[in-house]
Amino acid sequence: MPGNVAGIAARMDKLYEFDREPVTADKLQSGSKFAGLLAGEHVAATEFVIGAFFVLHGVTARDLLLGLLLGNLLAVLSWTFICAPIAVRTRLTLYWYLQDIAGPGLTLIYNIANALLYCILAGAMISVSSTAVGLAFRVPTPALTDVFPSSALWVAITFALGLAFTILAILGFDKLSRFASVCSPWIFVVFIAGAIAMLPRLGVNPNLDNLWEIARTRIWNGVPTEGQEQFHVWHIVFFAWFANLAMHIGLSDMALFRYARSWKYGLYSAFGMYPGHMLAWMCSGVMVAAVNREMNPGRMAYEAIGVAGVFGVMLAGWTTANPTLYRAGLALQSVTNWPRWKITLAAGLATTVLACFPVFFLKLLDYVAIYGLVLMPVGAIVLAEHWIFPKLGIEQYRARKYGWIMNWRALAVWFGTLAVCYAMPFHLFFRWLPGYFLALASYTLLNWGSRKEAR
Amino acid sequence: MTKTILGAAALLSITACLLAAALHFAGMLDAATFRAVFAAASAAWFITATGWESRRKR
Repeated sequence: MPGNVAGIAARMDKLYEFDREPVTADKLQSGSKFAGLLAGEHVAATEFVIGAFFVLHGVTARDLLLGLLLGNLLAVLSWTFICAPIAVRTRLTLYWYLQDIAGPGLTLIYNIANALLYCILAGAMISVSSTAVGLAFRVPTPALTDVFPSSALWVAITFALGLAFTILAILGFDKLSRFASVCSPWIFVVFIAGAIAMLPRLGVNPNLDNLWEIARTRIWNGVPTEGQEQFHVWHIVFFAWFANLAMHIGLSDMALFRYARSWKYGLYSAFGMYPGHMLAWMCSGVMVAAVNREMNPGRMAYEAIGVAGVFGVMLAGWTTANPTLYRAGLALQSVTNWPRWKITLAAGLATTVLACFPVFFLKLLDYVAIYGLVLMPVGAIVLAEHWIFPKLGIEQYRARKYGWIMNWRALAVWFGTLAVCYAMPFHLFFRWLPGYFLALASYTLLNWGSRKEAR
Repeated sequence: MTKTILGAAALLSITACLLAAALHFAGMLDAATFRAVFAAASAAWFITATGWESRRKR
């Protein structure tokens, strides 16, 4: 069994070989490049659903504004003070740094977990696109409580879209990702224009004198839709903070920030957060309020800007699903040793099947929380090893030094933290933070014994 | 030169998308005209921005 893991890990290393070496000084990128990249990265199909769900959860306008301002600030600070400093000091991706800390076996588990979580997220995006195509065929929107597909036609449309996205991902990732970068600014404009176009329907006067009144009484009026739990300011703060938890606290954006000239480049994440995770969420809230709170991204965009809106939702789903299928395929390729096209096809088909179940996009907020929570302990382990161990005289990078396939302490902390988080008696959104401190403390304590050896 | 023209045209197209929405909000464009203008400006954006992107240095 250890031989198998070592063999799989070696294959995975080969796939990631191209970014094995630390980034050299001549490859560092300017701040403007970071601003542009981060601005484009955080406007996706998920934004159509998340902002709309805030309305359905009965958040008030004041709580929404305060929550998004504070939550996004915390996210920006997490990139700046947690992710970027480690990335700039090591100039490595999390994949390679984790090998030194946790061993290739645990890195493999991390990659597979990441791939599966990504597949579910991509599935949700395909479902969002299906709501757009479904308009043309008058497919009834799944109800908020639906778990299983609502009709055969919904399955057929979702399957056709999933298959099309998969084939496009197989045909050429590079060219398509360049086209996707053209889509990002336009998709952002779809959000803004869609919300502006819907304001008259909600009763906003052209001189905007009643904008705040309409926002607080007709959009974010504090009344949840039947069956939806009431959200308050702290739900919004924490959601905005953990929406990209795997990227900042979980450190997967080390891949990006290793190209930064300084750790302060983490502040450029504000260019992604405030337009994407504040403005776009507010715009989708306006759109869902204008369609009588029907959670149907396709209909929201169609009623706002017509056929272009339908394309906007489809493209937003596709531009999210395409890199996701690529990453999932890359992570799983090492396990199967299949060629890229075959594993992308398999990941795409699995994702498509998941997409047929509307529960994944209708429970997107909970899923985003779980996604971040599952990968968060790995970020805590790396942070402890990088910053805390040297301060306490605990030996670092023992997996690399002693050739461990698996750092069992890291594995125990990862799964132990998740077990404790599962049992925590409070809302899912708030569990990751105590879990993070628990992971930091327990990983440090479990390694306390190696303190003497280091001296 | 072509790259500059394409970039400028792309910028104009995306501005037209936003301007159309603002004019609709102000009551100066009816819904059907707004949607048609938005669709046309969007098509122009995709043509020009794709051309501009393909000429960018990587």
